[in-house]
Formats: sequence, structure tokens, C-alpha cells
Amino acid sequence: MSAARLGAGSMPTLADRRRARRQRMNRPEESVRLRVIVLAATELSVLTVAVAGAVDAATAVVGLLLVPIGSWFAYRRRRHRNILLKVLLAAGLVAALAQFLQRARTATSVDDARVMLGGLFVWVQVLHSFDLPRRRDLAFSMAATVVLVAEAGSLSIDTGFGLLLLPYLALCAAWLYRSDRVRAEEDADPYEVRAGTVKPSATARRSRIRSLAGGLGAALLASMLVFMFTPHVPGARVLAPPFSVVNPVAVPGFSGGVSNPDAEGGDGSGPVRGVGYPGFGTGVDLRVRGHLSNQLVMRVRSPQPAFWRGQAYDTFNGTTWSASDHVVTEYGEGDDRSIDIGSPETSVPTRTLLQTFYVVRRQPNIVFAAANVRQVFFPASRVAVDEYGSIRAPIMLEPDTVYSVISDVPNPSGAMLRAAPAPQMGSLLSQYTQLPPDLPARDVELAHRITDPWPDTYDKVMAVQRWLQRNTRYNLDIPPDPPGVDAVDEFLFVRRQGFCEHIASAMAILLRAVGIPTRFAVGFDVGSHNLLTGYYDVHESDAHAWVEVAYPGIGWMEYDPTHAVPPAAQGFGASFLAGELLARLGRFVAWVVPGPLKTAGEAVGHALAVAGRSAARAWPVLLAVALAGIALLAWLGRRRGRVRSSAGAVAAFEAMSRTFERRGHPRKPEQTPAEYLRELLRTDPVARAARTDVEVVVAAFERDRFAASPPDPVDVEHATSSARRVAEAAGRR
Amino acid sequence: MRRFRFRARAGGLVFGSLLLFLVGTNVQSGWVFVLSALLLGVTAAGTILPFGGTRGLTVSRRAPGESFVGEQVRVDLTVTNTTRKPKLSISIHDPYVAQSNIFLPSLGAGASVTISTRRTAARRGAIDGGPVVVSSGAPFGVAEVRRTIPAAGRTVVFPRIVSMPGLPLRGDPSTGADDELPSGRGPGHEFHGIREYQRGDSLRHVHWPTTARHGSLVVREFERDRPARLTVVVDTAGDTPAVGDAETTLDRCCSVAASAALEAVRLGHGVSVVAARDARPVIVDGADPHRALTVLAELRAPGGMTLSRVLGQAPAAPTALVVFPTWRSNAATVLVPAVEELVAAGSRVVPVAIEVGASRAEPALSDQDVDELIAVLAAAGAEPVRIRPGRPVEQELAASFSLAGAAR
Repeated sequence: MSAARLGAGSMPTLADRRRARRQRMNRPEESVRLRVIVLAATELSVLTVAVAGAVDAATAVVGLLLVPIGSWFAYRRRRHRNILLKVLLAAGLVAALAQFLQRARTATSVDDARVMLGGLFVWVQVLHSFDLPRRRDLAFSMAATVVLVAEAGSLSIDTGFGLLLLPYLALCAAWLYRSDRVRAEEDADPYEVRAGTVKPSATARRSRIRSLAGGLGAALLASMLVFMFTPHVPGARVLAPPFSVVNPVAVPGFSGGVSNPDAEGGDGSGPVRGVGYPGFGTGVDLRVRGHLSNQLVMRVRSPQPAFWRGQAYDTFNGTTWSASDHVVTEYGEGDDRSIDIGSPETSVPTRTLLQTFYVVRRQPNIVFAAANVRQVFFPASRVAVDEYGSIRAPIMLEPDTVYSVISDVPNPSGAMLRAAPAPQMGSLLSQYTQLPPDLPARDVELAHRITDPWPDTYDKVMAVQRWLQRNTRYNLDIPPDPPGVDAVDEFLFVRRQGFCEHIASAMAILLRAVGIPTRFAVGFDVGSHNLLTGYYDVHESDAHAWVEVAYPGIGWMEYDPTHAVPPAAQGFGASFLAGELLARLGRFVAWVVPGPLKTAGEAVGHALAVAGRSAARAWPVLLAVALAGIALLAWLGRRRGRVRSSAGAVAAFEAMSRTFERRGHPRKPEQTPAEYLRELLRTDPVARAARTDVEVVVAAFERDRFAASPPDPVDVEHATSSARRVAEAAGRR
Repeated sequence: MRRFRFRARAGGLVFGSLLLFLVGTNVQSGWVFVLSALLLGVTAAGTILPFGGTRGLTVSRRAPGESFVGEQVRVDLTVTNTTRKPKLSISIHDPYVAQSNIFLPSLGAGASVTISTRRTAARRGAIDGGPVVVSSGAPFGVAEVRRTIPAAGRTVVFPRIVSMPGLPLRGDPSTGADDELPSGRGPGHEFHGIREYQRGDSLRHVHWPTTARHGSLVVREFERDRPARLTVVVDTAGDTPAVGDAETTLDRCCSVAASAALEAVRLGHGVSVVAARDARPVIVDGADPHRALTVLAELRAPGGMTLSRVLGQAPAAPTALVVFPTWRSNAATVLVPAVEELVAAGSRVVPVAIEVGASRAEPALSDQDVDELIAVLAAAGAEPVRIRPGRPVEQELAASFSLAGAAR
């Protein structure tokens, strides 16, 4: 063992460290700042659950008032044992738990229980705030705030929650920093500052705040990356999904029909009345024109996107789609308060989709859901289902209505669909291959021209879809159809422009023309996925029409010729948000960038892609270049980021030069430091009086500039002090 | 060298994040995913940022060259931030002389701070530099990066000095013994002064700086070395392991030896210190207490020689103080013949037996064996002193010396 090791202070033993840790943990927390941070975070978390509606207003107000009182009390009593207080708090906790359990009995779903849990958590926080003697109690309090905020987050369905989350994050960061600092300060030995300063001057404070803000920014950036690559996999099935209604409005004389206030009145040839979609009800008139509003209709919680299907029609008369079959089957509530419908049988794999709908704007009495509904959780004792799988409720979908649906969405591969036999379904064939009697022959000819090269149903469907996507354009501002024309024929051969109803109708008719059974479905498009809430925000303008094609043995498959339908099998990449976020960014950029620029960009992109493909073949070289580049950047960054230890020596010399410059003795450009020194000593009485200091500054500067190794930090320190003394001496004269 | 470790809160944050992820997955709530990502993001940022927290920090150390055990030593550390970014929450761990933890809340870009700490030297020894550990967990304390920075410095911590009234020295000047020699100029090692060159002076003694200033030759004069009246022999055969800052048995031996040497010098006697090092006896002869203290500060076990062999090579002196731990190698059968030889040569022999106590790093004598040893040493004409474990050395010595004095 070396002398240095033996002579040095010996390391504390494990037992010493454990003892010290125990003592530290049991020591009362004296840092007022730390307590204030925890108090602020607690108040914010209570406010957050209140805003999210997880607790009633009275509980929230009481909580917000009691937590500061409790925190103040806990600070005052931090050095006491508080046995009686602990007993009282335990009793309070038991009472809060008992109240929660009593209320939990009335919960109809997990969501209801979440709301009740919010109340319990608030009371736990309130009671705990009275007993926060040690740092670990404060840490527990912070952990409890995370639970409260998570609770609030799970109930928040809009982005406003972010306004509360950001300050909460800042408080969490402040707590992490402050608690770590307090711990380190406690462990440290006292010392005396001989030179320099560790006191927080205004500049140092600003600099520290900047550093902390930088840290927070880095944390946000890292969080964003984590969030983008967080897999959004479907979770465990919730067996009791939520459903509720605040003010149920019964459909008068409900017998299974659709009641749509926005579709009532008028002959359908005029513009859209009101803001609602008029296609829900008895039929869809392709002559109707107009824009739907952008009002939020509902929010949908679903593990994956889907069309929120409302109705389907099988009969087209040239202008209007309607249903030929009006028979409905009623299904009643089961023991578990759900309504079991039973999804159609299929031979292909299905994906179970649990969706919960939060209605924001009044809608018809249609239970919107992804196709192939199996089970409905609805705030009514019965529903009616028509032959097309459309579900109608005996009450209107009023705002704040919540319902859940489980669907078994078919998830076949292309090969499965290709292998499906040709449609030979008897009456089904005639019902879903019906064509308008006045349909011009050119439509049928077009259908054959598009589909005849393809052998099976799947490829024929895809061919029609491709043809429509290539040869028609989406446009909401199209003129009314001339009287007496077939709307599909007008769209396919005259106008070639239209919106979803025209495009979907054209596809359905073209497929029917070659004997493929189809039906015309209406409902809502998936909506915009709110990345923060995780909900799909469905607007009025998301009302949509698409096509359903029958595959024997498989069932009805949805096709959207208007735009790319989300693929049935999304692949692993779709589990992350990065793709969606980048796609949105891309769409935004495409929207703001002018056409010619886009064309040029595409050309450049194409060229780069070609070059990239060529370069990819030489990947080892690329890898080596990339690594060399990274190493170079790291070296440059390190060099740039590091100031020579003697920066102070240069600064001291410059400061001293400025002092003498002000006294009329500037350093001439050709003068070496030594020459300048000699001149100063010859001409300036201050320099002569402070000769030692001046020499120290010059020596440190020369060493910094010309010596092989930089001056010792102590010498630099002396030089800085000397420069200061010279300045003071000059000031006195 | 840089080391990295996660703190407990990193585990808490990751666990919380995973828990929220599971909750978010089940309730399909985006905000819960956001919260989960934030916790993980803070962990990730808190893991990466500390790497910059210690980068570009330099530390230099300034400490006194000498000190005694038990004294407060002032150690100055100059910490410089050579980067263009301020540093937050810098912890400095410096084990130099004694464990010391320093915390700097922040250090501005390019700033430098010199801090002074007082440390109690707990163990004797020569401390040569040793690294300073700079660590930072800023800003979130999720992880900690430690950098080891070499820092210069040399401090020799001399053994603890205890008072030794009544140290039994034969020919004590205070007693007016006839073999006392007056101190004065002459051949020796202690610097006495300078004077003009005289014929016959060795050129090795010319003091060139003064010669240059005066323009004529000036030479150094030395104190005449006094002949050693006290020989202090220390047994370095073994040592008890160091536990915390407590002194080991060898530390106690050195403490007794150093205290006796200083007391003898104070009384005007020359001192020789003898101990085994690297299987050879080290003999510090003359009246230079500084050298003796340095040797005693640096003594380590095992020295590679038994005490009886060392005693055989110790220079003769009127008084011999033999300080030894009660190892089995110092059993009566081994030690007493060597002591008898010294007594026979006319020395007054004072064996100081430092009992090893409960620690059994080396085979130690039992209480009965020590009793027997003390008795046999006394019978052989020596004046043994027994220092029991856990008892203050000075009290035990004072009691023994006063008894011995009364007996004389």
C-alpha cells in the first residue's frame, strides 16, 4: 500500500454511509424553497384534477385551501413527533377510503371509478400535506402529484390540459434540481472562499436559470422523441367500458328508424340546410351540394383508426341511394348491461376494436361504430339493427352522451381476398348488384374495360379504385347536375369531379355493372388524431361516404376510393407516432409551399433518392465518412467549447492595457508585451508604483501566449487580482 | 477518468414512466402517454446532461508541507471552469489529509474560485498528491458523472505528539550531569548562520546567493551535532489494520517515539531513531528532529526485521527507548536477551509495550504473556512501560515515568 493511500483520509465504511443516510433521511427538511416547490406542485395537481372534472368543485376548493395550510403547519411542526396528528390523519385517510368504496359501488364502469379515485387522491394529498417533516415525505407528496396529474390526464380529452402540464413539468424539474442540491449541500463540509465567488450574483442567477431552462428544454426534446417512438399498442381489454347520458331525449315513436333533424324537409336538391349531414336517414341524394361545418361532433377513443359507420344503402335510382329493406331486429340489454348483437361470421382473422364515443354535438339516433359490431354499451335498454348492420338507438345522441362499442373488424390479407370465391349469393346478388334502369351503357362498358383484365373480385375492386383515383378529382364546389341525368354517369363522363358521395357511388355502380355486390355506406371518417389526447376528433365535415364490397365467406369489406383507406394490416411502424407526425408536417409543408417550388423539390428529391440508392451500395465508405465527420465535429466542438485555462491571464492583460490606455498609454500594435511593460515603467507613475502587479500580469500573459504549457490557475488568479489592483491604483490617481 | 452511475431517482422515474405507459395503454389516453414520455424524457436528459457538468473543470490544490496528527490542516482548492458554459451543482471530493466534501452551487463560464477547507490530520504518513473527484448530477440529479482529476500536493503528517513529562533520560542536562556537551558551531546538519569565508572552509559550504549579493565569498555555518543520548527503537514487524480514522498500533508506537524524540531534543539531547524498513535498519542519527519525525511519519509495516535484530544494530546511547507492539515475535524469550545486552552495555533501557488489543492481524501475546514479558524485562534491568489498548498514551506514560522517577 502506498504512503499516499495510507496517509490520505480513509474512506467511510459501508456502515458509516448507511448510518449517515439513515440520519439524513430522518432529519427534518429545512429548505423552505423545496417546500414551496412541493406546495406549488400539489396545488397545481389538485387544480388539474378539478379542471379535468375528476372532483367536484367543493372538494377542489377545500383541497386548494387546505393544502397550503397543511404545508405551513407541517413546516412549523417539522421537528415534532406529531403522534396525535398522525393518528388523526390515519383516521381521516380511513374515512376518505370508506367514502371512496361507498361511492365505487355505484360505478358502472372503470371510467366512473377513475373519477371517484380522483376525489380519494385529493384527500390523500390534503391529509398528507399536514405531515411533511422529512424530505422523503416531500418526495412522496411529489409522487402523489404525478398520480393526480396522470388521473387528470386520463380524463382530459382536449389539448387544454397541456397548459397545466407545462408549469407542472417546470415545477417537477425545479424539485428535482433543488432536492438534489439540498442533499449535496447537506453532505458538504464548510469552507471559506479565498478568491472568486460562489455567491449567487444577479449574473450568476441569470446564468443558472438559463442553464436550468436549457436542461428543461433538453428534457422536453427527449420527451418528444420518446413520445414519438412510444408504441401505442392496444391494451388489456376493459370489460366494463363507459356509457352514460346526461339528458336523454327519446325518439318519438321509435320503431327502428333513423331520426335526423338535419335531413328533414326539402327535396334534397338544394344546398345543405343547417350544419349536420343530411345523408343519415332515409337516403343520400347526390344532387345535394354545399359545405359541412367544421364543428366538433364527437371524440372517439380507439386503439386504431376506422370509419365510424352509420348506415348503408343498397338501392340507387340514378340520383339517390336508399335502403330496400326496412326490417329491423331489436336487441335488449344483458346482465352486464351490454347489448349483445353478435358480429357477422367470417373466415378471416378479425381485430377486436373497443371504441368509446364522447358525443359533443347532437347527432341522429344512430350508434356510430367501426364495422361488424359485436357488443354495444349504450345508455338505453335496447337498440335496433337493420339488415345492413346499422344500429339505431331509441334516444338521440345528445351532447355528453358516452357509449362504447366492440367491433370485430375483418383483417384479411390481399391473398385471402383474392382467394375468395366469386359472388354467387342468390338473392344477395340481385339486391346488391341492382343498377338504375336508365344507366347509360357507356358506364357498363367502362366497368368492363377497367375490370375485365383482372381475374378476381379483389383485383377488379382495386382496379376500379385506381381508375377513379387517377381519372377523377375531389371537389366540393361542383355545379348542380342538369335535370334528368344519372349522377354517376355525369360524374364519370362529363364532370369527372365530385366529392366522396359521387366517387363512392361511381365505384359501387361500376362494380355492380360487372356483377360484384356492393353497398353504399355513410358515416364519419376517422377524424383527426389528437396526438396529445390520443382521441380522434371527429368534425361535422368528416361526414363521409364509402363503398362496401361483399366477399363470399369473408363478409363486407370497406373501400374508400376518395382517399387512401388506412390499411387493414398496418405493420409495426404504424405503432409509433413518428410517421403520423411527419406525415402531418409533410402535408403542412405541401400546403404552404407553392406548386413550382414543389415540382422543383420533387425533382431534387428524386435526384437525391437516386444518388442515395447508388451511395447505399458503398455503405462501408459512407459509414467511415460519417464516423470521421462525427469525430471531427466532436473534436471541433470540444475545442470551441473549451477556453484555455489561461483565458483569465489574457483577460487580465487586456484589462490592464485598457487601464493604461485610458491614462494615455495605449499599447502600440508592434509592441511586444515586454516592450510595452518597459515603456509603461518609463512613462507612467502608476505603473512604476504598481510595478510588481504589472510584471505579474505581463508574465502570466506571456506564459499564456508563448509558453509550452499554460500558466497555473493560481498564477492566473494572481494576475487577475493584480490587474484589478492596477485599475484601482489608476482610479485613485 | 470518468465514471457514471444512476441515482435511485432514475429508477423511480423509469418505473413511474412504465407504470403510466401501462395505464395509458389500457385507458388509451394520450395525455398519460405524454406524462409517461415526460418522465422518461427527464430521465434521458438527466442522464446525458451531467456529462457536460464536469467537462472542462480543473482543480489545483495547495497544502502545507508538514503537519502533525490531530492538527487542523488548511487545504486550498482552486476550481476553474474553462468552458463557456456555467456549471451547476458541482461536488468535489478530496481525500487529501482527510475526507472532504465540497459543494459549489454554480461556477460561471471561465470563472475560478479558490476555497479553503480545514481538515484534521487523523493518521501519520506522507501524502503525495492524490486525485480529486469532481462529480455533478445537474440539473435533475438523475445520474451522476464523476471525473477524477489529478492534483498536486505533498504533506507529511508527523505522528501525534503527546506530552512526556519525566522522560527518563540518563545524563539529563537539567540534572547537571557531567557528560553534557554544550551546543555551538561545528560539524553538523542544523543550519546555524553565515559568515565570511576563511581559509580552509569547504567550497561546498559557500552560500552563493549571498556571495553574489556581497561580492565576496560567504559560507554557511552549522550547529555541531550533539552525540545521541537517547536511542529510540521502533518495532515495525507488524501493524493492526486501519479502521476509519483510528490510529493503528504502529501509529501509537510512532507517536510515543516521536514524542520522546522531541522531548529529548527539547532537553538538549541528541536522538537516534532506529527502525526496520525494507528488511534493513534505518538509523537517523544526530539532533535533527525534522528528519526523525519524517522517518517516523513514513514508517510502514512490515519492516522485514524482528525487533531483537534491530536492537542488535542500534547505536549505543545512555538511554534506549524501545517501542514495540506486543506481537509474538516480541515474546520474552526473544526480546529479553537483546535487552539484556543493551543493559549490559550500560544503557538505561525503557521498553514501551503497546498492547495490540482485540485486533488480531498478527499473532499477539496474551495478557499473561505480556505480564510475563514486563516482569522479565524488569528483572533484566530494564524499566518497562505497558500501554494498554484504548488508554491514552500520555496518561499511561506519565504514570509510568512518575513511578519510575519516584523509584529512582
